[in-house]
Amino acid sequence: MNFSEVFKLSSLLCKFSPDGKYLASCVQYRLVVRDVNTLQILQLYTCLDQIQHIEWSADSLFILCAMYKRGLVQVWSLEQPEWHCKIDEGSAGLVASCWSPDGRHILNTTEFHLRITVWSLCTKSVSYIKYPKACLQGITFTRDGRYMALAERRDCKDYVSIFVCSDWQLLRHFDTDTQDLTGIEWAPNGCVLAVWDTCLEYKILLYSLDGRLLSTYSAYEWSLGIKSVAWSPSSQFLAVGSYDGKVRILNHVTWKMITEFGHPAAINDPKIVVYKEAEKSPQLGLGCLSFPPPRAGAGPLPSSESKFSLQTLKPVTDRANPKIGIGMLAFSPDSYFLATRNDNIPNAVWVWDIQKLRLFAVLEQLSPVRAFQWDPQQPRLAICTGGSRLYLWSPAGCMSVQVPGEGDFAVLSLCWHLSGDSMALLSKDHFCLCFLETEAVVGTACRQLGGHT
Amino acid sequence: MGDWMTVTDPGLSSESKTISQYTSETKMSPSSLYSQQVLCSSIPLSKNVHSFFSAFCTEDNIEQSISYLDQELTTFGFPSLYEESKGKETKRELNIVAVLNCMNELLVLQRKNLLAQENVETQNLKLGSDMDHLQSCYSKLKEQLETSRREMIGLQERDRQLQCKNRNLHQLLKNEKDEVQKLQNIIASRATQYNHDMKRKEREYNKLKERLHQLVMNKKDKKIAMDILNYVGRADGKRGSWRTGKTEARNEDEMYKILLNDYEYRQKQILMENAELKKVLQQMKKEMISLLSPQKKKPRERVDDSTGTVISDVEEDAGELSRESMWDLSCETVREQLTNSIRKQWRILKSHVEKLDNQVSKVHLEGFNDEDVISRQDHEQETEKLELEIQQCKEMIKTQQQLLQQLATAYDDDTTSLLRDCYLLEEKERLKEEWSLFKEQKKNFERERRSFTEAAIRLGLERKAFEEERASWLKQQFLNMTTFDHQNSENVKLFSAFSGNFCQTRSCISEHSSINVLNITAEEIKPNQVGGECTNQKWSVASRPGSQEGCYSGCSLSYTNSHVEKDDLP
Repeated sequence: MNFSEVFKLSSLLCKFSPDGKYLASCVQYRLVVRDVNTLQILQLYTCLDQIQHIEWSADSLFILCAMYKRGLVQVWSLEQPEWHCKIDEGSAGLVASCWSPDGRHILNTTEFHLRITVWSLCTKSVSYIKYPKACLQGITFTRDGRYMALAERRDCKDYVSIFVCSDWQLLRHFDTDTQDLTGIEWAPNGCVLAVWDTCLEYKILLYSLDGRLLSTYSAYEWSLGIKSVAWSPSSQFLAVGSYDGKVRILNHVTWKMITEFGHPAAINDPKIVVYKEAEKSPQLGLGCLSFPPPRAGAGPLPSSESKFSLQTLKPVTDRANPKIGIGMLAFSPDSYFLATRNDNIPNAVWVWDIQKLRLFAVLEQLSPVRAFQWDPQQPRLAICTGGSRLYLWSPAGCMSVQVPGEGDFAVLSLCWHLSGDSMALLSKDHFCLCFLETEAVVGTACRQLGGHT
Repeated sequence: MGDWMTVTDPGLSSESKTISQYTSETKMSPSSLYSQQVLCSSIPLSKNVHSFFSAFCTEDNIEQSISYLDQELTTFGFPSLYEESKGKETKRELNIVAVLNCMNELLVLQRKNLLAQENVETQNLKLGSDMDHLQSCYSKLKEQLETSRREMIGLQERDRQLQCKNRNLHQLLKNEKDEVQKLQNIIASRATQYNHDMKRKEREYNKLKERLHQLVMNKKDKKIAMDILNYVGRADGKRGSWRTGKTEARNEDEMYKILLNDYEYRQKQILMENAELKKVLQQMKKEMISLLSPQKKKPRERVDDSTGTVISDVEEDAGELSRESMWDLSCETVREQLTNSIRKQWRILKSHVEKLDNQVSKVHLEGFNDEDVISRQDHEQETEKLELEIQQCKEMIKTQQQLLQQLATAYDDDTTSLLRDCYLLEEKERLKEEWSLFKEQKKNFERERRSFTEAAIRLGLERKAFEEERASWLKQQFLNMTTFDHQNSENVKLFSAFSGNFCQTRSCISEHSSINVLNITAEEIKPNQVGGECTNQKWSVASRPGSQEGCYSGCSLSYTNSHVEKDDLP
């Protein structure tokens, strides 16, 4: 495992290009485009204000930089560095900005979610979409980029509109039987749209591409409902994480629950491997004045213990959005594993085996897990907890790596490269790249626990 | 009589006094007191005997005592003590006989009374002890009753307490349920209230948005614009198209195409899965049937039923299978039949396995009773032995293979052919030798046979000649004999019989000429030594070489027999 040198970064804005060749990062108002292999700066662009959001176009030719305070979006071209494009929303304000799948349209959401303006880079046309819903995930594109689903709200009722991305024609417009729609997401196969309701009501609806309601699912009433939703990459399963600390898996044939995964604080099954991060006593170097930071090593729990209890966090009961329930859900790219995090056991990541529909492993860290992401190519999970260590888990084993640096490199977020060979680790002011070798070497690295620097 | 009365009274009182003495002395129960009283009264004590007796009659009052006694006795029904009075004035004489009789009677009575008293006393004692026993039982039972009563009260009390508790808990539960219901109602009402408020606020918000929108649109802010250097071409390189009804239709078509493709793909997947599963099921069914059908050879009561169904199933399934393979469709009935048959087989298999398990457990418990079931250890030993054998065989095979290979590959072609030729030559030589041997032997046998046949023929001829000679000689003899004795009609008969026999024997000889030429033993001769007259015949029989022992000797025997005893001819 190699680490690159550390570069400056701001606002955790660091993204790989969709084709995997470039890496774009922001430093204040500058946009730096690097080559992924050599990390040499290829392009440097200067924006008018501090950048809040960057996004690559799907064909990796353009990057948009959104500056919400100024209401500006600037688009840069890689092929032609001198090309420029500036979209000014003016008094309408800007809340969100994203590309369309064809890479030639930009969708700007104005302030108060008044409207979505579709700016075209090819023609002079501008389209407006009225009454978009102000929710977490109101816009979703199909994986093949043909269709866009948009959540709307009119007259205290929720609607979903399906647009054809090629010509922005409205294909379907239907109302949904939700109280207050919180999110919509296309299945990876582009034929089913999942629509879920606010957390006050547990309801998830499944619509076909042509607007027909396929099924609804509601696990229980009255208590807080859905917190997170994830499709499996094969579109076979829909994982619904809720505030009661359970993940319910729906299958694509009957849209009924096939199993539910509980996240109890005590693990009794002896077949489950639990990895617990443990502090190792610091090794005092002879003649060394500065004490090296305490190293933590990960190791599997001895199997003699039949019961393992995790550290739980008691949630504050009188506040909204309590820290309970399944806040993070992710399927591995082959759909074999599902990684979840129960927010009232924030230090642990639970890995479920979807083939056998049971718990596979639990990883307990010393600090709350901030982010985890699956390798896009294989079932390998990278976890960061805000410390200076990076944790990798695969079915073969688990390891932790200290990110090298003069001070503490607090890994706040991470981002895999498309090929799964490298990963960008982001901290508050810096980022670095981590180059991973093939599986075999990861295995040997696993055995050398505690020997890392 | 007053005197008597006073006399008796003190007597009685003295009696009672003595009794009271006794009673004061000993502290006894009333029953025993009573018995003592009786005893006292019945057996006069030596102390007071004389005084007791002298108290009644003294020298002075004899007449009075007699008359008194007479009075008493007569009242008691005894005859009078006086003699029959002759007149009223004369003094009545004491009838001693009567007195004696009376005394005897009194004694008898006394004895009877004593006996009766004894009986009564014993009965009294018995009753007394019975009463004691019953009283003690009674007191015990009373105690028991008391304790059980107390227990019952205690239990009742506990029961009451528990019931109270139960009621309380029920009440609590009801309260909790009510509270829950109330809270749910509250939640529901609050939710509706909240929704209503939300809707109201949303409407307000929408109004604001509309207003703002109007303002934003109206202002026609120049700022809202896109400043672009040059327009970029489309991603796919094509030109933009107008939005027409055609494009709408095209979009619809495409959408439906995508959906249909997806459904078709999924259906294909599901059909494949179905086909695989069906195959697996059918395989399973076949295997289950094959597992269960060998049970036919070992008929056991319970298994017979299942084999019956198995057989019927096999017949059914054969038809099914052919149908299924022909169609290979997923129609309802076929599917149901398949699943039903699988379920049946599985049930049969399960019951079979359970029976086996029971048997195994029985074997473990009872020992090796059942011959058919072998113990685990034996089984393991057997398997070990078999494995060893297999290994040995394998090794042997390996070595043999190696040898063969060596043989095959170690030599060149020439040498191998030479060797082969050598081996063949050897074989040929050997075979030739044997062949020649066989030929020689054959020749010898032929010669011998010829000689034997010739000998047989010669013998036959000789015999013929001999027979003729003999016949002629015998004729001569007869002729000589008949001239002397005509009464020997038997001999004539004999002669005819003999000649007949000769014919028979000749035929015998001709039939069996070549066999057993030399088997003439003395045994043949022995049984023929019968009678004196047939010595000539015997001799002739003996000298003639017999062909078939049995026939010949039989003939000769019959001949001799007929001659002597006139038995049946063979």
